[in-house]
Formats: sequence, C-alpha cells, structure tokens
Amino acid sequence: MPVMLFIEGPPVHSSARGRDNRAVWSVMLHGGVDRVRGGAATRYGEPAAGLVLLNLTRTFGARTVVKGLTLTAGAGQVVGLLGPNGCGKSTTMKMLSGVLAATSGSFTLDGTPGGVGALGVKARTGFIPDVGGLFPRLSAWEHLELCARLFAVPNWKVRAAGLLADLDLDSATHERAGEFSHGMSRKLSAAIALLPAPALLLADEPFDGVDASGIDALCALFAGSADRGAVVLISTHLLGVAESLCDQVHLVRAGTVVAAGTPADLADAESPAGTYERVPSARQYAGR
Amino acid sequence: MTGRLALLGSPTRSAGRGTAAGRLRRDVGVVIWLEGRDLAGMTRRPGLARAGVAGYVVAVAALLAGASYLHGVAPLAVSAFGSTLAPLWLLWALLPAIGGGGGVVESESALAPYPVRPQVHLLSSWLSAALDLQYLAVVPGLAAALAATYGPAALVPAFGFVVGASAIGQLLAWALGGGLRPARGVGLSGTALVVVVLAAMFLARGQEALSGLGVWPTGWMLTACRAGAAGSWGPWLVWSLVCASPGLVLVGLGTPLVGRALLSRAAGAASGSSGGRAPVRGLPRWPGAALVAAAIRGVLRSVAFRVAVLMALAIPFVAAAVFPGLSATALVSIALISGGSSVAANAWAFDEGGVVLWLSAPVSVLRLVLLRATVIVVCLGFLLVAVAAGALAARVPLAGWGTAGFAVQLLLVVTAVGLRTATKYPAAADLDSLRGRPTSPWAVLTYTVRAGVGAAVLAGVWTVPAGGPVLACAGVGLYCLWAMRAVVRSLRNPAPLLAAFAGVR
Repeated sequence: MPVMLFIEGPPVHSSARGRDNRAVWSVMLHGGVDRVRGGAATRYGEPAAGLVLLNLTRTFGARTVVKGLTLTAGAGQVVGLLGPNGCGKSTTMKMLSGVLAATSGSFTLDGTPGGVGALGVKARTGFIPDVGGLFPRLSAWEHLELCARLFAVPNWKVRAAGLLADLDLDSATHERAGEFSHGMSRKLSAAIALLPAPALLLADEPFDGVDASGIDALCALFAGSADRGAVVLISTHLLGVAESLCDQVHLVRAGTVVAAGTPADLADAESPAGTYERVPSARQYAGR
Repeated sequence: MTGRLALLGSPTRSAGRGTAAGRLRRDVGVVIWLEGRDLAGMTRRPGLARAGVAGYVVAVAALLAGASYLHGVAPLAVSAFGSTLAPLWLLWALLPAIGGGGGVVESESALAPYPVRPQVHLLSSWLSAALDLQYLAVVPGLAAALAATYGPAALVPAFGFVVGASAIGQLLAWALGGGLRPARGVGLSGTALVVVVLAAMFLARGQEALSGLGVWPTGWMLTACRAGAAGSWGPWLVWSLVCASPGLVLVGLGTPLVGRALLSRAAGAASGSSGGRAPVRGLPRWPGAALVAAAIRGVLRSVAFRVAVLMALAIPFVAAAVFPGLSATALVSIALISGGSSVAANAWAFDEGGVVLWLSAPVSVLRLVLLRATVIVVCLGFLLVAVAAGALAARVPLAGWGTAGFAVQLLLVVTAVGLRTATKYPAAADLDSLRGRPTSPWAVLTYTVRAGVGAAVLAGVWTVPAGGPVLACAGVGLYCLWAMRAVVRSLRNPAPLLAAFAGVR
C-alpha cells in the first residue's frame, strides 16, 4: 500500500501559512478526480477572486500532458502543486503564465480570462519558470530594469535593490546571468517575478538548486506576496517546504489533480489511489 | 530496484585497457556514434536521416560514375579550376579556425564530463567539419568535374586536396584553442587573426594578395590530375600525397595540440570568464524600446556577432583578391546573407532562456514580432557598416546611393527570411563558442535558398529601367508582410520555441 511520508526539509521561514481549508480535504480525499472537477470555486465557497482553472488541457502531438486540470486558489493563498516528474506541473505553469496556449479549457484571474493574448492578466502575473527565463548576456540589474520597464513598476530601483539583497545577490548585481550558478539563476528568476508585486505569482520549482538560506528567503518573499493578497502557486518536490508554506496542496498525476487539501490533512492521511509514492528516508541507507 | 542493483554489480571495463588497435577501434566507434547522434538530432527523425544519407551516397556515386563515363566518351575541358578551387581551399582551411562548421553533440564542452581521449575529440571534430554543408554541397560537383576532365584517377588528388584543406583548418583551430586564447574566445581570436593577416597581405600586395593559393595547393592538385591523365603514376602519387600532407601533419601533431587545447579550455572554465560583468547603462523607458535595447545588447555581447562583424570586414578584402570584378550589390548580398545566417536565422537563440521572458511579457504577439525584427535590422545594420568600412579600405567601389537602397531592401528581406526560419525551426546554439548555425540542416537550407533567391530577384528587379527600385520596394514590402504574418501565427503557439529554449517538449 502506498504510504506518503513527509521527509525533513530545509529550514523554512517561521511564518508558516494559516491552514483554514481542512474541509476541502475531507471532501476531496477519497473523491478522486471527478469530485475535484465541476465548480470547485462554488464548492469551496470562494468568490471568483483569485485563480480559477477549469478543465485546462494541453496536448503535444498525440500526448495529452495536462488533462482537464481544475483547481481554485483564492487571493492571499499559497497553493502547492505536487506530483512526480512529467505529470504536467510545468506545462500548467506555462499555460497560466501565458507562455503556452491551452489546447482546451480556460483560467481566470480575479474573473478575467487569461491566456497567450490576455495582456491584462499577463501584466499582473509573475512567473518563475523551471528552465530558462534569463538572458545569458544581460546582468542581473539589467534583467530587473527590463522587467520594471515592461511592467511599469514605480520606484523600481529601491525595490530591485531590496530583492537582490534579500536573495543574497547584491554582490552579483552587475554580473551577467550566463555566469551565474544554477542556484543564483533561480534566485534571479524569483527576483524578476517578484519585482512587479504580481497578483498571481507562479513559481515552478523555485527552490531547485537554491541553498538553505535562499530557500528561507524565497519562502518569506512568497509568504509576503500572499499576505498582501496575491495568489501564489508553487510546484515543488520539497515536501517539508510545501507543508510549512502552503495553505492548500494539489496532488497532480498524469496531468490531472487526483487529490487536494491542506498539507496537514495530507500528512495525516494515506495517499488516495497511489497519488504520491513513498519517499525513502536517507536514514534507510545509513551504515550500509 | 533489482535492475538497478544488478547494473551496479555488473563488470565494467576501464577506458585505458586494451591494445592500441582495440582503443583505436573503440575511438572510431565512439566518433561514428557521435556523428550519428548529431545527424539524427538535426533531423529529429532517424529514419529520414538514414534515408537522406543513403540517398546522398547513391547520388554522389552515380554522379562520379557518370563523370568517369563522360571522360571516356567526350572528356570535358574545364579551365576554371584554379579560380574556383583557390577560394574553396581558403574557405575550408579557415572556417574551423573562425569557429564555423562542426556538430553540436561532439563539441568539447559536451564531451568534457566523459572519459574521452583527445584522439576522439580530434577525429570527431575533423569528421564533423568534413560532413558540414560547405563540403557536402561542393565536393561532389567538384570531384565530378575533375573526373570528367582528367579521368577517374583525378579523384585521388581531389581527395588529397580536401583532406589537406580540412586538416589545415583543424590544425589552426586546435592550435588557436591551445595557445592564443583558451575557452570561449577561440573563434574570435581566430577571426581577428585571419582578418589582420588578410588585410596586411592585401595592403602589401594589393589584388595579388592571394594569388599564391592558385599556385600552391590548387596547382599541386592539378599537376597530379594531369599526371594521372597522362598515365604518369609516380608524379600522380607524389603530388596527391603533397596535397594531403597537412593531414599527415595533423595525425602526427593533432593529439598533443588537442590535449593542450582541452587543458586550456578546462583552465579557462575553472578560472571563470573575465568578461562576466556588464557595464551599467540604463534601458529606455518605453517597454518596447527596453525590450529591443536589451535584446540588442544580448546580440552585441555575443562572440558570434563579433565574429560576424569581423567577417563582414574581411569579405571585401577576399572578394577584391579572388573576384576582382565582383559588383557592389553582389558584395553586399554575400555579406548580408552570410551575416544573416548567424544573426537573423538564430534570432531567438541569442536570448536562450530569455525567450520565456519575451513570451510572458505583457506585450502583444504582433508587437513582439515587430520588436524582434527591429533587433535583427539594427544588428544587420552594424554588419553593413562593417562591410562598407572594409570596402573602403580594400578600395572596392560601392557605387553610392543605388547600392545603399539595394542594401536596405535586402536587409529587410534577410530579416524577414531569418525571423521566419528562426521561428519555424528554432534550435539552441552556443553563440559564445561559435557553433552558431541553426542545428537543423533543413533550416540552413531554407534560409540560404530563400535569402539567395530573394537577393537574386531583388537584384534583377532593381536594375529594371523605369521604376525598378519602386517595384522592388513594393515586392519587398509584400514579402515582409507575408513573412511577419507567418511568424505571428507561429508564435501564437510557441511550443517549438519553448522546446528549443525552455525544455518543453
């Protein structure tokens, strides 16, 4: 029987998010996909404010990577997307950022339909892609300036300097992004996404390769974004971080949400329908 | 788990074991595998790649057999070999030194983590360069013409000629990699050296600067061909070997040269790049202008673009020495089309992962395309300035405003063709180590054919008396509109772009 085991993660920011969605999990836990679909917003009693995905689908040739994905994330919530590699998390993120067109289905941000041509929604969205997002021959500061110009960020210099300091990138302000380490690149992507104070922050595996203090700083910034009313959607494999940071977690498998709830509910329950595999503890291999 | 454990327990063979013949066999096997991967990666359809290779081999064999038969019944009397072969030899000998040619899979950086011997690097680099378009497109025709003129025996000196030229290219490239400038500056240093030497030769000897090329390698090969036709097999063999002698030098000196270059490269990588800092300069306030300025900075700071500028500077010198009667419009066409293959046909590759930022920016697709076209036009404009400067130095007449108008029209055509190609066949390219061509041969072919046809049609219409330039302007405008529309449509679903630059399938 599959068992979900939350392993110990790196240190996270102390201001863990509130957990007020327990009712959701009790409905969803054994309901499977069909229960998730069909007007999640009304079931949760949330208004149209926030992010609503309805039957979002994306195919690449004959392969359907995202299959009718439906979920709701209210304003001020940090929502985690968890799932194995290749289950469609990154593709979902790219559709929500307006980088990739959905094959079918739709999503709205505060009631406004989003998509490739929805410039109003794009202007309110910050995106940390899992791969790319940086110009190799531009400096960190030039990236932030470009972002400030594109999103018309007022007083951007102070904010940019603050973000670089928070993420420990201030010594590399004028270094070219092509010279950055992987972790530094991830932090710069996060700074770019956070600079315009977006209403929707999409973070696709933002902690990948980031050091412990960087993860702490990112968590604080994501929590701060949610506190001022943004929807923060994070995909991560760091279950400890997801448990501490997220108000709501959606488990994705084969392109569709198979379960959703608060991290505490998920931690207490056995995984429905083999949603998430057991994660072996490093201790198993100690003293081999 | 069982499978994994079983693999862990399986016997492994050390790379250093075995006889010299065994090691050589393994090396050749690795090189052939790498080339096969590179070819399959270019077409993304292994079956198509295999069919293409088989078709090419059959076609070349038929061509050579036909040429040999023709020599038997009615031999040709081609006399223009000297003027054709001299610039070809120069191209083959210099291209690897300035970073052109070669595949991607077998690049030193890609192979660096693996226990690959210098011999494999050398063999694969040599084979990869020889399998590039500048050989594949030219060698069969050249060999057939020689066989039809001098008989099938001419194929041996022709082979020696190609081996010698390509070996010179490899020797230069690896020597530059190990000596002048390690890591990423090899192509730039090589190009700068070539331009300086060419300019110095031209200034010292004028239009006779490259006349020696017609005497040395080309003359040796033609001597061997004539000896073969006359049945003098001794001179035929000697001159063929002389043509191929740089290949023997490469076999002897190549391994230490490659070893030294790999060490230099590793040392450069370990110490980090010295050019990592960007000057602090603000971006324009208007979002579109900021995007354009940022993208132009990305292009200007790339090694590929700097090499393209140097090439544009060098083209008038070479043209003046090799083709003294070349028209100004032909000169501009050569410079723009060759420069465009680096700048325009790789339009998105300069941004690499930054493409995601372009696509996620709150800017409409139409505006994105127009902004990207502006970037290309500006960068190609720099190349035009370099050509003009080179032409002035080489005293090539540019014929005033007429050429300027033609150049502007061609600039727009090359931009539209390049952007269309870059969007339809996007491919990541390391533009700092100069494997800067689009990796798909279909993309190269599409770009070259479209830009060449565009230039030819434009040149034809431009010279039509009474309204030629006006007619050309209208045609260029219509073509650009069509191409931009196609690019906008492609970008509405940018999955291929994301697949190339952001890891989405």
